[in-house]
Amino acid sequence: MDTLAQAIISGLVFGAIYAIMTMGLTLVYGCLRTLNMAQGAFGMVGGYAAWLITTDMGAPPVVGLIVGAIAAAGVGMLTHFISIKPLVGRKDIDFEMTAYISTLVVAIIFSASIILLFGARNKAIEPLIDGRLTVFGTVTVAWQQIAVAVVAFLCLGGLSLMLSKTRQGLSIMAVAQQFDAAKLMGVPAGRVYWVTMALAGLLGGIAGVLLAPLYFVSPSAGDLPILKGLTVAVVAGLGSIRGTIYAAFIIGLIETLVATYVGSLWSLPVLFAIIVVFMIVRPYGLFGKPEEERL
Amino acid sequence: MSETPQAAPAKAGLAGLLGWSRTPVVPTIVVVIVLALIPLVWRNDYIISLLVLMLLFSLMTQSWNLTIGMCGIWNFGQLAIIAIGGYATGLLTVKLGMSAWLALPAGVVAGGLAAVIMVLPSIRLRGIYASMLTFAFAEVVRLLIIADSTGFTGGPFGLTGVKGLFDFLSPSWSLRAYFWLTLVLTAAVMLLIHRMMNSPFGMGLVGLRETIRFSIGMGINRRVQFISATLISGLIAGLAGGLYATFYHGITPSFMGLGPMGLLVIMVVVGGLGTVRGPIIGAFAVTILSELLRDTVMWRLVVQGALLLLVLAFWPAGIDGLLARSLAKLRGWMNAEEGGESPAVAAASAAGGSTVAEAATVDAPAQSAVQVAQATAPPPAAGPVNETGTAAAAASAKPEKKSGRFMAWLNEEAKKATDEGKVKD
Repeated sequence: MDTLAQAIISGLVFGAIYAIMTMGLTLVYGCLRTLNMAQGAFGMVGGYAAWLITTDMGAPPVVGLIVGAIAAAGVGMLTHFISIKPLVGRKDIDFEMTAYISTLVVAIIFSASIILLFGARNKAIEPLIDGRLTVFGTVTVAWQQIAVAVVAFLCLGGLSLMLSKTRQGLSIMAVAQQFDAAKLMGVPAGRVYWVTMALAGLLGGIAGVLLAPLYFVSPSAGDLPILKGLTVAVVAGLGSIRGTIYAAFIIGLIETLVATYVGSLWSLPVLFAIIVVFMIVRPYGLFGKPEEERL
Repeated sequence: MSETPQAAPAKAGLAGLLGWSRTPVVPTIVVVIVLALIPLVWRNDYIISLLVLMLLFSLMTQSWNLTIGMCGIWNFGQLAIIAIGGYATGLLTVKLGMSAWLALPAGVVAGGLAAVIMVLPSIRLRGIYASMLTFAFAEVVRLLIIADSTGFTGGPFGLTGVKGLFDFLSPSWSLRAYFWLTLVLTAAVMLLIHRMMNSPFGMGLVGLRETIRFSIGMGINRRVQFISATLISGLIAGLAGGLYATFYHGITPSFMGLGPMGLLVIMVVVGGLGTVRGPIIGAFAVTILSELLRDTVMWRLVVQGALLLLVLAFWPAGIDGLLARSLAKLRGWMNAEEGGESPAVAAASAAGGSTVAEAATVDAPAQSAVQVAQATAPPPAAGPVNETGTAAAAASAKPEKKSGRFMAWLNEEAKKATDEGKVKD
């Protein structure tokens, strides 16, 4: 019973992190029709920025979170300008596949550059808050986990406010829903593109900094999150914001439950096996529209 | 179709009209013989082993290009297929003590089967979902091998002690024998793919890639086409994996994953996605580049990545596309000097069948076929047509977008079929 409660709690916390991580993927896919394989690398860069500012320079962890998020947002913009912008609107290429490949390569470039800058060793990073809170019996929750959940929900709340209330957010939604109509109404699509990428970078950076104390900061720290993020995005149905949140928690719970009861080595294979079966049964995800294409 | 004595020449003429280039058997054999002399002249074992590695990479990229480039299946799990071929070969020699010569065909078959199993469920998915499914398949394979603690596959440390194909030779002669074997196999695979892409089957694949709904409407059976292409791709991948495992006497799970996948992607795209020679050019170019940057391992990845971004931004058809374009220009320029013909005539007649270099790209047959079809008012089977003449007339038609031209070609054929009141083939 206690193990189950423990597993569910950490599953929910991981679900919250996956949700903000995948929200970046979802926004970018909805808006730019690009499956951004560099999303994991944004988190990795964010983790390094946070490590640099806290462990190296001794700033408090909250500053690390903010700096990491801002650095990742910058990297998101950079990614847009070097790998996606040159491909937008070209007739001689298959945009979706080319953008997929170019962002994948950008992710590889980022992790190679990080090795060049900081070396290949793992870096440990301080959690936001130390210590554990006892809920009942032997079930305890690390304050870090609570902080993660709080930050994640703040992010999701802020994001939904932004998307529904602000001018920028509305233009993002407009471009995602009806590109031509949005352009005709005077929405500056070019700016929406890089703003979306910066936003995706911001979310990825926050997720990266939140994940950093649980694992380590390493040049390959982005690989696992991007795999999980892709899984969540596909289960949710690409581009569906509501689906992303549900799917993130489902995936987080499945993963921790399998890790607790079967073994942590098996959590990923089982997860992917479930995905394979899921995609055969429901090829468009939980909330995806069964449309052939939107062009 | 009537079986008149005219049937054979008519058929050859049709192939020429459709722009299918003849398989360049003789030139390839000449090139292979010249390359085969390298180890006899340049007695540097390091260089030879590097060449073997490049040839192995060529086989891998060729097999991958067949699905991702030629058919447009978003297959991002090809490394798992290659690894399955390698592991199957390796396990058979290590666990059963089989000879590598018997285990290699088994590895080839395993690769083909695994590819079909992987792609079967993803055929009905569109683009990115298919990529995710195949990628998830590859990750399951990789993680299962890493998680395996029974010692069957060697777990994270990999399988060791795989028998080589030429263990009875001395190490340096074994190396040379591997070079010759992989050289011949790479050339054979290239010829096979060239032949395949210049056949109704290959044209069906190109059609499915360019305009999927229209091709299905024209009666091309997507499932059969995709599964056959995947099977062939998987067989080649299994061959590459088996050769890799026997050449290095082992294989590890680090062979798969995001990093190696990125490397292969760079090779395929830099060489030219969806072309016959592209993957080979890409494998050689990228491997040579990484050898030049050998001392700075990490700069290597950055440089390779930057190269890919540059290629995508400026020459999306890759090095092969660049070569084909400049060759066509050069030939057109030379012919224009000589006979006063327009440059396009040369390009069109070259694509018409006689020259190797021109029509080896997949685009070339499609576009010349369209040009021919646009210009030929009478149906091709009606009688002997002056090839050069029609091609010259066709060349005056301005080439449009790739898919537009293909649609035009398909439309033309459909119209012709209805005009004649019978369905061809």
